[in-house]
Amino acid sequence: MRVLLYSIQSALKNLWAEKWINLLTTFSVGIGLLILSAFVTVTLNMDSVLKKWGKSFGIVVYLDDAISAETTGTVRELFKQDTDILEVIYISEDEALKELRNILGEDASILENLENNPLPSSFELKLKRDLLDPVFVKKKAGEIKKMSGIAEVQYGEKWLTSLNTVSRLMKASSIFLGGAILIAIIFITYNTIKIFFYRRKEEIETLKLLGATKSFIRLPFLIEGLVLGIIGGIIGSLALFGIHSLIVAKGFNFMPSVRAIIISIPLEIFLSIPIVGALMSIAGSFFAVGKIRY
Amino acid sequence: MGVVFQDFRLLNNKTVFDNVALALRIHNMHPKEIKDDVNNVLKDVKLKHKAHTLPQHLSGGEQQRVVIARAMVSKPTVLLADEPTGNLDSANSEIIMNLFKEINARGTTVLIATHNESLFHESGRRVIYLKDSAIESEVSG
Repeated sequence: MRVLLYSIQSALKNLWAEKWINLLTTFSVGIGLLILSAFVTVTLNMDSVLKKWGKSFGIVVYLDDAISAETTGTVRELFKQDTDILEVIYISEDEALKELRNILGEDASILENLENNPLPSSFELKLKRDLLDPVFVKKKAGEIKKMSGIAEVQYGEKWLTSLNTVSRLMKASSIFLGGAILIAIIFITYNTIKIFFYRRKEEIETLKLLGATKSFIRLPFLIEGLVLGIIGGIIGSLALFGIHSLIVAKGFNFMPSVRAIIISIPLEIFLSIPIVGALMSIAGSFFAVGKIRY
Repeated sequence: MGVVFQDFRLLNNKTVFDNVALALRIHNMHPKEIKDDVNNVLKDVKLKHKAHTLPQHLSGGEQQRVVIARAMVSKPTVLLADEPTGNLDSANSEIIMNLFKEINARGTTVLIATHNESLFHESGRRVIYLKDSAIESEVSG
């Protein structure tokens, strides 16, 4: 415990003594974490937007004109029993015509000359969000089409594929960018601690000659790395908060579409930035002090 | 065993007190004990008034006394001094040698490695002559 206290004291003194290089390191770590957290925030918000859009996705099942009420009932029951289907909405021929009239508005008069209602009755099926995979939906639509009394099955195939591609792209980018930035933070801290190590080589030699243990020599370096990561993380957190506040206060007036992507930043993001910074920096320091030879 | 280095090996970013205290801190001693022991040993080497001075503001002789204090603070039974007067003038050399005599009088064995023959001629102590890492001759004190 006494060694830990002395190491903390020693690390803080050393950090202050090397304040300019440390300032550079903390800002580099902070900027890296800012980019990462901003991207994670946008991805999270985009994902929630995609989820909202996904809720409105449905498969429209058109029924045969000659379908009996009994068969319609059977089909409805089969849909309701299907665990992949979240919601089943039946739209009768009359309801379909009424909806069309609403859509046409003033032009609805063109429908007056129709002798019969040409619109078929249909079911609108909402699938579970986690099943909105284009391959799965295509397979499901194919199975439904084979059922008796079904005339046609329609769904936004292109739309669903695009949605899926965007979602996958964002997740892949998050992993790639996140990985690259985290490695960069480890590398920045590794180099800073290595510089400290070379600058204090004589001190380390003296400590070794006086009989200091490995941990006594290494601990201050690890603490220095940890502090650099935490301060870098706090800088990143504050910068993210500032930029977000600025966008919310001014940016929406100029770019209303941004509102769809930047909704809110969970508190966990702000808190996790210094933690991530600390973990990455301590990893960098750990690799650096591993090079101290005995 | 305490060691006195020829090139001092003092940490220039630490005060005299902290340099001496380092030898105890690495052994995880209590801060109160460290304070007492360091003050005592600095008094022994007559540097108590320089406790908060940085080593680069001390003379060569004073720096060597800090090194002796650092070596002695953990109360070793043997003190090894490698060319302790190698970087000092004759006046400072004499002060250091007297200090070693005091340390020895208090019960610590002092082993000095030196090329300066005048140091041991007048010491009246046991002298071992080495040549190319082998003992050449010995004079009892």
